[in-house]
Order: sequence, then structure tokens, then C-alpha cells
Amino acid sequence: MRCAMNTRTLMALVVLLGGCAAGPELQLLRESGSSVELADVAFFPQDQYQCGPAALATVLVSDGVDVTPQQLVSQVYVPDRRGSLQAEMLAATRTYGRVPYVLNKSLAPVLEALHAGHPVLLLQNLGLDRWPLWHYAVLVGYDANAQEFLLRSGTTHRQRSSARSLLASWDLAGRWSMVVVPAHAPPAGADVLGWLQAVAPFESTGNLATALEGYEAAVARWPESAVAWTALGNARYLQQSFPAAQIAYQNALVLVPELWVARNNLVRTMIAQGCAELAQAWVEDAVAPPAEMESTWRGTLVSLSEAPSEFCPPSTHRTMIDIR
Amino acid sequence: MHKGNGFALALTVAAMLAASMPARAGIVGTEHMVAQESRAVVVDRIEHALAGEAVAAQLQAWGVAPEHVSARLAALSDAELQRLESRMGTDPAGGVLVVIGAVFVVLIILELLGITNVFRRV
Repeated sequence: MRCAMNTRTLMALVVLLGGCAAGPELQLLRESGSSVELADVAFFPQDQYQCGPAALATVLVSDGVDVTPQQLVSQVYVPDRRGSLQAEMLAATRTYGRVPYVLNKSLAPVLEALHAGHPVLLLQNLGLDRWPLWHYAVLVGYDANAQEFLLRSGTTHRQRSSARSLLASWDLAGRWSMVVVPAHAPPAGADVLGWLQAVAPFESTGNLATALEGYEAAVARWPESAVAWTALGNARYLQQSFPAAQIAYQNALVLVPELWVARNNLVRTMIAQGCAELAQAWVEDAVAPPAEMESTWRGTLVSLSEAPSEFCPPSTHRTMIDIR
Repeated sequence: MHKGNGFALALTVAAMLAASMPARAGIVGTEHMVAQESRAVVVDRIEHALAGEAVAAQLQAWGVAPEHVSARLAALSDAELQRLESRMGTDPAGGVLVVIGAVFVVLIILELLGITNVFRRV
């Protein structure tokens, strides 16, 4: 309704005022020379201030979730703020078993995501730095030659926006954007830490199965990442799959012997299995821990000294074991 | 997230955080290990509960129906909860698009007179 009209007016003004915030990004767009349009992405026109629920429904439905903006209102809309907070957009996405991946603050991963078929939910500031007007919209394509982006926004099904004005509004909003993907498929252009950060909250919010799926995907995609192996070990530990956790931690330590979290957790895993004697080898193997890790490590050593030691097959794990 | 130095960062942060970690089932948890800022994660149960209370009260004060508040809290990660507790008053809430024309005209005049220079800042 009036939303859509104001959007256009504002964008025009931003352009008029010379929003040249995004020179390198514009050049990137020009040089990409290609175009994409995800024409099948559904459109949910927003009611009043509820572009958060509408935009979130757009990306969730696009990833196969059966949900409507109305259902999302009670999850992400904050009446007196007349809008939706980013943290809740991420949190709500997880309740549907999907991973909200926040993209790096540059245009390249956004274009990459579009090419991979993911609509990109982005935050825009259609006002000024000091008097912001926050808005969520969904990018569904771009045309490098026309220097245009295509959006589902407000009440406009296929909004064409000049690259310059869109990038200016995105820039004023801290270049925040996210894609929604299943836990088994990190998006193109993702980096390992970003992916782990996106997946880890599934653990603390009680969806260990999805976290596990996300970590399995992480070691498949980044088998050289000790941190990913450690994360996988942690999820397996919490699931009480101790032998599998042990392998994951050992893989992490083969890659990076000084990764103390992995060593600590490996010893804990062995204690949990009653393999104190075996754990001893990993303790003796260790150099002194960094200061920050000392008290945790001491606690682990105390537990180790009190732990029973049954017969456990010796572990001579010094090379990567492929358990994906 | 910056590519490249991500791993070094993770190592450092993991070590930094490990000491104060709640021994969740005895191991150092992943959310802590991959947290970007040392204060990004609520490390203490009581602190966690307090942050939850503060965020819940604010959501309710902003008109979120009480019956929805606890589910919304439960969906937040430690880092998100912590962030909301400290920043939710100023964090963007995407949705508002209604502009009072007069206000905007004033902004433009300020801009053109050079009193503000938001559009040309980069």
C-alpha cells in the first residue's frame, strides 16, 4: 500500500542525493556481466509494518517450508517497534529446521547465492543514518547490463531497483543479508566458521539432530577444518555416540595438534567410555596448555585421575580417518 | 566473518573462552568455540537467566503477547540473547516504511545545506 510507494520515492531520493556508497560493488556487478532471476520465488505482500514476516516467509517457502507470513507474525513481529529484529529472524528460521546463514558483507556472496538459486533476504535502511527506516526485502535476481536488482518487496511482486539505490540502502543497514538453507547443504560461498556459527545454536535450542546434520555437512565440505571436526565431535558427544566423537576429535588433532578444545574434549570422551588409560596417552602427548585453558584442563585431569580404566583397544590414530 | 584469518581467530577465541566455560556434559561446547566476541556468549547460567528475563520483559513491554514470549526466547541462541539484552533498544527492527513527508523534506534540506552529509559519507 503506501509502503510500496514510499519505498520508490525514497529510493529515488537516495539516488538523487548521490548515493555513491558502493562503487566497487557496482563495478563487481558490471563485471559479472550476467543476469539471474529466480522467477518461481513466491510473493507475500506485506501488511502494514510486517515486512519481516513477509520476507521471512518468502525465503522459507522457497526452501520448501510450509509457512505463511501470518504464522510468522507471532514469532518475529514486535508491535511497538513496528518491525522485526534480526536476531529473531534468525531464531525463527531455526524453528523450521533451516539454517539462517548470514552472508559476508560484500556483494560477491550475494550474487553467488542468487546464482545457486537462493533468494537473499536483506535489511535495508531507506532513511538516513540518523533517522533510519528499516525494511526487509528479498532479492530474487539482478541484471548486470541494466544495473538493476529484482526484489520481492513490500507490496510489489517484482520490484526493479537500480543497483545504485539498492546498494546504498543496504550499505546504510550494515550490509546485512541472509539465506535460508537446509542443514545438509552449506550455501555456495559460505566459509567454515560462518557455517559453524549458524549451526551451533541448534544445539543450545534443543535441536541436536539438525546441528549434527550441519556439522556432518561441514566436515564434508571443509575436511581440512579442525574446528569443524571438533564441532562434529561435540555434537556426537552430546548424543552419547562416544566412539564416533572420539574419531572426530582425533581427526581435529591430526590437523591441528594445538587445538586445545579438541584435546580436552577428546580426553573427556575417553573418560566417558571408561578408557582412562588410553586418555593418558593424549595427556602425556600434550604440551602445556595456554593460560586461558588451564583451569578447564586441570578439571579434566582431575576427572581423569578419578576415572575407571577398563580395557580399551589402543588408539594409534595419527592420520585422518574418513568417517563421512 | 573475515575469510582467511578465521581459523586463527577461532583458535584464540576458543582458548580464551574455554576457561570460563560451563562444563556442559564435561566438554567445551561449539557455540563457545566459534563465538566471535568473548562477550558474545552468555557463559553463566544465572547471567543467562537474567538476560532471558530482561529480553522477555522488553518484548512484552513492546506488545508481544505473553503467550508467545517464552517460545520466542527459547528459539534464541546464547549469543543472540546476549546481543538483544544489550542492544535491542537500538537494533534495527525492519518493517517501518511510513514516512511523514514533512520530516523527510527537512532531512533533505539539512542534507543539501551541508548540515548533514550522510549520503556522501562513503
